[in-house]
Amino acid sequence: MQKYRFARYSKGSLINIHQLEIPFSNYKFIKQSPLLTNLSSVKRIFSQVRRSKCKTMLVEEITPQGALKDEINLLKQKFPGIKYTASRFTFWKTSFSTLKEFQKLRSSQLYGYMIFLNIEGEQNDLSHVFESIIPKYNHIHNFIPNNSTLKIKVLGRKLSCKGVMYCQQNMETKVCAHVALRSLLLRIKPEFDFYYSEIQKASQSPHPPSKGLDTNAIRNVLNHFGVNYFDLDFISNKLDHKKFPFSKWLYSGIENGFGGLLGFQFKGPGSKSERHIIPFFGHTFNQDTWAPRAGNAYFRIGANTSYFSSEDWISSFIGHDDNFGSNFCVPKGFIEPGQAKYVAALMPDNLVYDGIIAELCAIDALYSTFQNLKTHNPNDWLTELYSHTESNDIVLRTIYISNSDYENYLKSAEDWYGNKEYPNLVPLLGKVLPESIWMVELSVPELFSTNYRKIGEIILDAKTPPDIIKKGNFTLARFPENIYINKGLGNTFLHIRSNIKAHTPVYSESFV
Amino acid sequence: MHNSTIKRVIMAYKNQVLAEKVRQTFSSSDATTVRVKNNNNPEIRDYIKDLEAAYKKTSENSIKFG
Repeated sequence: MQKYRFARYSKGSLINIHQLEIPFSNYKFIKQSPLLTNLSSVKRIFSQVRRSKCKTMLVEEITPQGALKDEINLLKQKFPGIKYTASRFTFWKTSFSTLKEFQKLRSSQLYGYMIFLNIEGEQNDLSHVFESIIPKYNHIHNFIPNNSTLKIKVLGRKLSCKGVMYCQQNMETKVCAHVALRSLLLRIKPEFDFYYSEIQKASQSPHPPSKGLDTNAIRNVLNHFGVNYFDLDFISNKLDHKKFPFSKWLYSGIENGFGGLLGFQFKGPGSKSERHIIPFFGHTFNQDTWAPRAGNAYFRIGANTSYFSSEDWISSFIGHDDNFGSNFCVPKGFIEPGQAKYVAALMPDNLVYDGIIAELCAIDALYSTFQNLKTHNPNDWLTELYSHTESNDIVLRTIYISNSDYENYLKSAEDWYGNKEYPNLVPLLGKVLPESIWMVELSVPELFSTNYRKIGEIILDAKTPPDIIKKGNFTLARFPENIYINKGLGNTFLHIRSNIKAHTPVYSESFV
Repeated sequence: MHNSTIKRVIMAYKNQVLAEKVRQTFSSSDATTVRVKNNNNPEIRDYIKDLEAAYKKTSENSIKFG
């Protein structure tokens, strides 16, 4: 893999600058432009551009490089003599009409871009959106953790775009599995362009790309590119959907900033047994959803053990469906458990266990150990937490963060009365904490969902194997007025008084 | 050495390191040691065991997407 040789850096020459305001018609333009094909994915992108009130579109013809050049080589091998046009469309929030004005624009004025590969003649059906970045809909309830920026070049100028790359299949040199993998790989290793020939080779699939990738081939790709993941193959391993709900794994990958893959089977008469796989990277959070309280939302570990997960308040997962376009909200309940056939949660490097196991270790510590400390140094909010613990009415939210992220959180978090942690205590805690941690936030339903606040958290070492008996990965529990540090035995804790006396905000990227 | 034995050895070492770090960091501060009965929830232990078994990294009759 060559670093920094990106399709999006392809050299471009200006074709036109279009004003997008009325009377410009997106649909008319798509239909009439010799550079485009009348695809739903293109209409979706232009519609997102319209909603964001973009004022200008700059169109370049580009000389393919990076993954785009690789794609054209693959097509030429399969269809010798193929003719194509590759073009880059950039969408701008600012009105401009000259190159002189363009030179003054900054990245903050760039909304998004699309590279379209138009195949001429008989193979016109192979035309597709090679890649695009369009930001998610700017709604207060839509979240994309780790929503990073990627650099692109426009007429030789280096600018940046925020969002997750959308890629479309052509059913010949790549299908949904290839494009889904590329979208997520680019989030994890943005220094590479991920050529489809490399993805196919890494899959070790004996079949041509048009035949798709199976779960083993998908794992081969992730392993080849050094991506850490935890996955469940519901078919081959005959897994019980009730015991292992796919949405928990998908959410875990998304909430930790790397995303997840969901492979599912179509349903309904006439759907045969076709399967599709989609990358997910965001979610909507409905603070007022009735679902968790309706009773079915508890994550049941066994007959007597359950808890709420923050995932219970998710209404939709945000992902790309390469058939239709970018940034769709897929309602969580739309894909029925029986339809889900494969789920993979992508995770940061070096984790030895995933967020689900972290949650289980935390709930065990809370239900089995800290329950026994309820009379030790009582506090109103701690009493509230323990009373919810007795009825399994606890909400957990599990996030992978670094030691310094946690220190920053503790430095800035204020409780309901405006108290902050003792300033000299925070760096001391930093010394005890491992470098990579699972932070399992503890809250109660109404406080968590309606006001985004929590009562405390349990901190686990993400690089030490989980052991609920000896609690080797257990590091610290912070509750109002009380901090307990594991002295390495799982039943002996160093107790320190905390200056935080009530609930605090849940962790968000703004604390980093 | 069996994998689980290696894990136990690593964990014992890490526990020792953690205990030492805690001792050095908080020895002079206003801190007390609390001992607590450490129960374990068998349902959670069983669930983790089942989950680790579910994370098989190779699938027989693996299914295709695309």
